Amino acid sequence: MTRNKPFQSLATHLSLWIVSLGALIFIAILSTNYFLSRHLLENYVEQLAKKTVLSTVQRVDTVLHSISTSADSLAAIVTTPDISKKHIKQMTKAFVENNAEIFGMAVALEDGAASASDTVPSESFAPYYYKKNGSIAYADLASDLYNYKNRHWYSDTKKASTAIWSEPYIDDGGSNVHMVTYSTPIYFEDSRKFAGVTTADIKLSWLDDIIQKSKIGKSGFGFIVSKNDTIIAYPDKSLHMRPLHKANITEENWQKYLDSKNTTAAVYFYTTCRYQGGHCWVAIKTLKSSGWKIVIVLPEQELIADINALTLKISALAVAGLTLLFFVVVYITRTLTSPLGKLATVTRDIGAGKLDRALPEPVRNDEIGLLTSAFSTMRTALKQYIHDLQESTARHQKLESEIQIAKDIQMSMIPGAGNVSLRQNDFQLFALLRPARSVGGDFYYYQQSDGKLHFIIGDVSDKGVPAALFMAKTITLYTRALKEKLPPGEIFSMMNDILTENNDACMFVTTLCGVIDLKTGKTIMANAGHMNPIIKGTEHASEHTVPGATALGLMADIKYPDIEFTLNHNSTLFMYTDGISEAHDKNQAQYSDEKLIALINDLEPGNTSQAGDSIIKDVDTFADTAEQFDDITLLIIHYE
Amino acid sequence: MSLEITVTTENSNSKRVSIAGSLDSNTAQELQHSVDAEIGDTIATVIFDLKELDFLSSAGLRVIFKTRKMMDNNGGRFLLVNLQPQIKKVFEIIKALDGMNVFKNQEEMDNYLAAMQNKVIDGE
Repeated sequence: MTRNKPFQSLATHLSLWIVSLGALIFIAILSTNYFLSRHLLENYVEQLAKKTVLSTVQRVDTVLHSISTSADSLAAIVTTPDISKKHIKQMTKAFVENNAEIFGMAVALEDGAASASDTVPSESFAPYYYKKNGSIAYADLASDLYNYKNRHWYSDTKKASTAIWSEPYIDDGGSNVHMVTYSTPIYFEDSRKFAGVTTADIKLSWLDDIIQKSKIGKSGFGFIVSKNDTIIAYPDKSLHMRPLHKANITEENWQKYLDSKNTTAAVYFYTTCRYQGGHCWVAIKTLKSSGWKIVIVLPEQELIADINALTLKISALAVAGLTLLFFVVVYITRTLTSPLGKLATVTRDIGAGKLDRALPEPVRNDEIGLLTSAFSTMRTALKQYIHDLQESTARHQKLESEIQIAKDIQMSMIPGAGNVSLRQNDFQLFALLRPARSVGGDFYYYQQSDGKLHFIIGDVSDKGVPAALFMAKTITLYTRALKEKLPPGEIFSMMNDILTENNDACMFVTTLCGVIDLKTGKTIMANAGHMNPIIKGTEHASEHTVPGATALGLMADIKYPDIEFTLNHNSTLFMYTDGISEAHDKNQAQYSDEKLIALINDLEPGNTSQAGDSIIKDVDTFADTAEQFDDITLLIIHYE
Repeated sequence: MSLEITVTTENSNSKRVSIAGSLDSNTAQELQHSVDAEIGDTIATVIFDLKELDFLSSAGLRVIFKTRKMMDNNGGRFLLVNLQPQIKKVFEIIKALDGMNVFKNQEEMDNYLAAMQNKVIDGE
């Protein structure tokens, strides 16, 4: 397990991944959909604007055509020879009555025009019929007050010598309504001289109705502008008759509008619309008959708002869906992994030693089921193993304590329990025994009696418990022999015969023993296959050969000779086992007799305790980290 | 250091045990097992070839003595051959060479064996 990493459950991990991926896919789809929709919408809006402007133009044209046709027809009628004033009035009234789109019509003649006919008076003649409260009203425009000859619809038409559409105005004389007037000139049939005009009015509100019909959605709208840029029809009636630039349009759009005047074809452009916000499609088409312009404005905003609303709804739905997905994945993963969590808890308990904790029952026969059964097997094996280990440990501990007791017994068999530093008037004695294992086969013994010092050092073959048992037997035999006051050679012969008997294991002891007469220094020693002692006196330290015979325990009936010599005063006798001379270092090199002799020679004389410590220290330094190879025994006797 | 033991059959009733390496308290048991497994009652002569033996401890000596004792009890022969100086010294210290058939080399041992053969033929 990685350290220093906060725990994150598999369920959370998996869910986060799946939901993140889902969200990513969804965002990709939604944004693609959004941009495609916008693109489609833009195309659609453009088409719609074009279609709407054309249909509106057609509708307005139809109305205007009908009005102009009526005025033209009336003009033709007025010039009919012998037509009476009464007849002209009747015809005018009939036109107003029968054309729904016409608000009012007038016939206005030049002075003297009546001379063309008997029935036409020589003074001014200008009857006007208009709609008022559902019926047809009459006004005589020939009154001095109105002075129709100075009115634009009259004078302009006379001047232009052709039919014209007026700018929008308020008719203050006749009806007091906002209107636009179509005026067509009348000429005498014979002289082709100007005889007057016929007019037809259309209320701006009539055009408003048409414009209202061109309304698209909530925010799309259309309006009509006159030749001189005065608003004729507009959804907001307060703008009627106002100049267009006051309708709060941008500089850019005004320029585009002006450009459209140069062509009779429809003009389309995509622009920003200030007061609607966002972008608009604008379509402008000029009417051939009147020179008016139909303008259709289609703001995108509203339609995009629909797309946005839709996108928002889908997004909300997706968030809800993803949230649901998250919890479903968490739930499923938890269901799948909860046995793992339980298993982990139980495993922790098992690890803590609670081996009897029940493992969770596998819910399904899947990988987790396999893991659980594997854990179960492991736990059983672990239980068995721990049980075995406990038993073996208990056995081992028992054995250890037995060996400890054996060690105590063994050490009690030798004087000083393996560590002696003795200083008497006539001699000093140092003895040390350090087994390689708890117990060992090395031994020493000494006994002072009748002015004599008896001593023995020995090494039983091998080490450990078998050697310790054989050592016990050996030392027991030696102490018995001392009681019988036997000389060294005989001691060994006796011991050898007993040790050889039934010695099927072929254990053997190499040993040196001797006795020193403390008054004279006369020494008798015997050797049973052991290393010779080293003597250090005034001379250089050297090996003192003690001839002997085979180690004890190998062959019966062997005579061991008593070797006599005199130990000088201030001489020291060093005896040791091969645990010293054959001590190994970690490279398997041996300490050697030569090194020991050299060391002894350099020791300060007359202090056995110090000498013993120096030798042991030197051997330990040599062995360093290497395990003690064999039992170590050192016996030093200094004769004062 | 480890121990390597090779047991070869010289002839029907003679076996040579070649011991190489260190025969100490850690390895002595291996030699004991080999001897127990390879040398039965029918073997009349056992030769321990110590040519490659570098170190010998008292535990190893015990196995050698035990093998010798076993052969003596069976009325067979136990021979030691090719002792390196330091090995020979170990035997000398414990004075165990007395009464043992020890040969410096193969030739000396072959001569001895031939002589023993002749004794049997001569009916001694």
